[in-house]
Amino acid sequence: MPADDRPDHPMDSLDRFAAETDLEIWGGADGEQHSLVDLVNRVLDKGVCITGDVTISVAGVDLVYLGLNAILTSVATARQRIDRDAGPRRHLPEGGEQER
Amino acid sequence: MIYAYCVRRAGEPGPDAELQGLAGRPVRLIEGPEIGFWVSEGSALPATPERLREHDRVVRAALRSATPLPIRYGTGCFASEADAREALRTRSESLRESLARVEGRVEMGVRMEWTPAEPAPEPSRGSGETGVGTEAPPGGRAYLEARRAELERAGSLRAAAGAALDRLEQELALEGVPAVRTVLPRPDVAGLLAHLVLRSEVQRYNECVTRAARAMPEYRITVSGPWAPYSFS
Repeated sequence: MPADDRPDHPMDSLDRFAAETDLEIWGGADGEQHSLVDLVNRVLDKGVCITGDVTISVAGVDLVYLGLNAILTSVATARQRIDRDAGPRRHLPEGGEQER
Repeated sequence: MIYAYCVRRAGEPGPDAELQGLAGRPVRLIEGPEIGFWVSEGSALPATPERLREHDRVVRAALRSATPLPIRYGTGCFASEADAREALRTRSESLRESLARVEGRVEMGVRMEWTPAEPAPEPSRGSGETGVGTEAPPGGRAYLEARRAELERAGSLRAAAGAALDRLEQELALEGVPAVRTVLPRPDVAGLLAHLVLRSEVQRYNECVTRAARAMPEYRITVSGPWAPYSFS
């Protein structure tokens, strides 16, 4: 890919791209929710882990993951999951093991 | 406490004085001989969408001048600046290697959603079965059969998602561009691709995605980015 006169600034070229095409950038038409999904997917789930011995205990990884669980399960996803899980389990005979 | 957002090479521009991090805290640089952290004073905070945006805002600010190594939310916490400096020393080699891998590049993402949104119909319960229990509860056999059917559906959905993602990668034709793929992260999303793209090729990347999206109208294909290279750290 030859260098051209574009500024070496991905945000600039992407802004221009967004103006020229119908593809969504940063969630575009969907706005917040779409980009939040991408954001959560990265910021909470990816990236380098810098956890020294002391760090883990002090930072409270559990704390972060508790928070993570709270937001990761969006209402829609939770509902889907409940619906899905509920299906077969409704068929359990009385006294069967109900996990819900 | 010190909270770190990202890793930078020493000598690269530091954060602007007005840049705000978690909960509006100022951001500063802790730099060793070869690499440094962008940090704020204070401990980690429970993850909320707002906190995640604040974390990413700092990483994104770094991305503007040079590609940083983003730190996963909440995992770069140190009891003191001395501890942070110690981490810079002990992790220096691996972090520099990772920084070299992402240098001059940004992460771009493609999301591939099924259209219509739900490819997986609600379990079509077998003959005679109804979802709502108007009949006498069936026995364990019916349960296990329903369960098996559900697992088979899940398996075929995953296979279909994998095939769709294969096809998308073919359409994109981004040979040589490092990629991370996630098959079926959620039922409504067939897959995600993350690519580590040269800054100068962001435009070409977007053109590739546009072309692929047109070639595969049966999916809703969206691009996001540029991101700091979270998926390649």
